[in-house]
Amino acid sequence: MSQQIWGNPQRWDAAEWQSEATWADRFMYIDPYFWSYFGVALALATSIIGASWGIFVTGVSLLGSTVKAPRIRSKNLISVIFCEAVAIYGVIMAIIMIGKIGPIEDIPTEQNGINVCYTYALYCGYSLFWTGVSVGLSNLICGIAVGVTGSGCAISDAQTPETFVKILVVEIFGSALGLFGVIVGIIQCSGATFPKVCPSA
Amino acid sequence: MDLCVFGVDDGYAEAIIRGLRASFLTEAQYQQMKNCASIPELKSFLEETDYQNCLQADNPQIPTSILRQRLKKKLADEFEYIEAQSTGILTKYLFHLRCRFMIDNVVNMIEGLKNKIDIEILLSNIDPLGWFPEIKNIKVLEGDDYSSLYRDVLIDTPIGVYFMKFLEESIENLHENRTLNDIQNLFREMKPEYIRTSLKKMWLEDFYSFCESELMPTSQEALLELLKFEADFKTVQVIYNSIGNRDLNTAAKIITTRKQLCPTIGNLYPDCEKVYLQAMTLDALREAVKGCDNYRDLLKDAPDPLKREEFNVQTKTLDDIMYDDECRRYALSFDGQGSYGVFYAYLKLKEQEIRNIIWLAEMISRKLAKNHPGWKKIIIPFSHLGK
Repeated sequence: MSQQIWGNPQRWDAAEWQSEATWADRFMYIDPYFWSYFGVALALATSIIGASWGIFVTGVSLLGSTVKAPRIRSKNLISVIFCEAVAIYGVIMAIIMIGKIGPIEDIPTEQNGINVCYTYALYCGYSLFWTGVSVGLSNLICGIAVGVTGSGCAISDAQTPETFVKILVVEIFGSALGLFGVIVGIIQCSGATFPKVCPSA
Repeated sequence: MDLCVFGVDDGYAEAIIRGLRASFLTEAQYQQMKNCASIPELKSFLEETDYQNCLQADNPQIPTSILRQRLKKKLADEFEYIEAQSTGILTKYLFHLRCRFMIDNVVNMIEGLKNKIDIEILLSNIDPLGWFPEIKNIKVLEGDDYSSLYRDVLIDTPIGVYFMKFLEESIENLHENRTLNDIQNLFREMKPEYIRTSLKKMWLEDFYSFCESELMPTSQEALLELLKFEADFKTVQVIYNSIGNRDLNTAAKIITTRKQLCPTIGNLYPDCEKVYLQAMTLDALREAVKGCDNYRDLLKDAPDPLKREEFNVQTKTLDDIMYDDECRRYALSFDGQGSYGVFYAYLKLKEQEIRNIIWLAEMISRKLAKNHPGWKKIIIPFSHLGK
C-alpha cells in the first residue's frame, strides 16, 4: 500500500487503498481539520443550547410572577444574566479554538516527514475536538441548572422577598460549573496550534 | 427531568399563582378586620387589600350576600385568566377543578326550581366559578317532569356524566316493580344534600383517576396525597353525620347510605372499609381510623355526634378540626415547584379566605361582643407555617 497518504490528492482513488484499508485505517485518516472544526462547533452550539434552555425556563417564571408582583422584575434579571454568561463562555472558547487552526504551508515530500507532520496535525485535531466536548457538555448542564434554579428564585421571590439572596447563592455555585469547563478547556487546547511549517523528524 | 421541561407549557400559569399567593390576607390584617366596628369600615379596609377593584361600585352598607358574590367573582375572574393562559393538560385539569362548583350550582338551581323560586334570582346567585354556558337551559318543564330534566338537559352539561351515574345508581336501589311515578317521586323527594354528596364523591373519584393517568410524577406526588386526604375527610364526615341521624333508623339503611356516599379512594379505603361501615358510635369510628396518618389525633377532640343537641357556638365541630388540617396541608403544597398541586391548593385556600371574610362580616353586622367565642372560629391560611 502506498505510504504517501496525507497531502497526496490521489490517495482516495488508489485501488489498493480501497481494497486493503481496515476500519482502523479509515478512522485514523479522518482529516484532523474535520476534528478541529467539529470541536469548535460543539463548544459553541451545546453551550448555547444550555444557555437558551436556562433562559426560557427562567424567563417564563419571571414573566408570570411579575404579573402580580412587579417589584421582582429588575432583581431577577440577574438569573438571565448568569445563563447568558454560559453562552459567552462557549463563544470565548470557540474564538480561542479557531485561532489555533490554520493551514500547513509546507508539507515535506519524503514519507517519514509526512508521518511526523500528520501525527502532529492529528494531535491538534483531537485536542480541539475533545476540548469542544468538555466545554460544550459542561456548559449545557450548567445552563440548565442555572435556569431551573433561576425560575425557582423568581417564583419564591414573588412569594417571600427574603428568599431571593439565599437562592442567588445556589445559582452562583451553579454557574461556577461552566467556569470549570472553560478552565479545563483552555488548558486542554493550549498546546494545540496547527503548525505553519511541519516540524522536522 | 420534570423540572427542566415544566416551564415550557405550564411555567407561566404556575408563576402567576405564586404571585397571587402573596395576595392572601395575613394574620395582622385579620386582626384589623376584627376591630372594624361596622360594615362600611370593613369594606374600606378590604379596598386597601388585593380586593380593591371588585368592591368599588357598591354602596358602603353592602349586604353580606352581595359581598360574597363580589369576592367570588374576583376569584372566578382570576381563575379564568389562569385557565386562559394555560395549554394542553393544564387546561383540562383546571376545567376539571371547576366541575365541583358546577355541581353545586346545578343542585342549587334544581332545589330552587323545586321550591318555585324565580329563575332570575337563581341565576344571579350561582357561584361564578362554576359557570358554564348551558346553565341557562335548566328549567322545569310542564308537569314537574324531573326525570326528563335529568335526561335531556343535564346530559349536555359538562357534569352530565356524574348525573347519569347517579341516576343509574339510585334507580337500581329501588325494588323491582318500579313505575315511572316511583322515579318521579324519588327525584322529587331526594334530599339535596344527598345528591350533592353523591355527585361530589363521583367527581372526586373521576378527578383522582384523571390525575393518576395524565399528570407528571411531580404533580402526582403532591396531588394524590391531597385528594386522598379529601376523600378520607368526606368518608369520616359521612360516617360522623350518619351516627345518630334520625332519618336513618335501620342498620341496613345506614350501611347502604354510607356505602353510597363514601368515596372509594383514599387511605381508609379499602383497608378500614368493613370497620367503618359498621361504626355506630364515635369511639367505633376512632377505632376504625386509628391506623391511618394523624386521623386519630384529629378525631380525639371531636365532639360526640350523639349529643348533637348540646353543640353551641363554642364547640369545635368535626368540620372545624378537619378544615384546619386541610388548610395546613394545602399551605404545605405551595412549597414544591413544578407541580399542579398549587392550583388546587390556591383555589381551596382562597375559598377558605372568602369564608373567613364573610363570617367576620356577619359577626360585625350582628355587633357581637369581642369576647364572643365566634370570633375565634376563622381558620387563617398559611398561619400554620409560622409566618
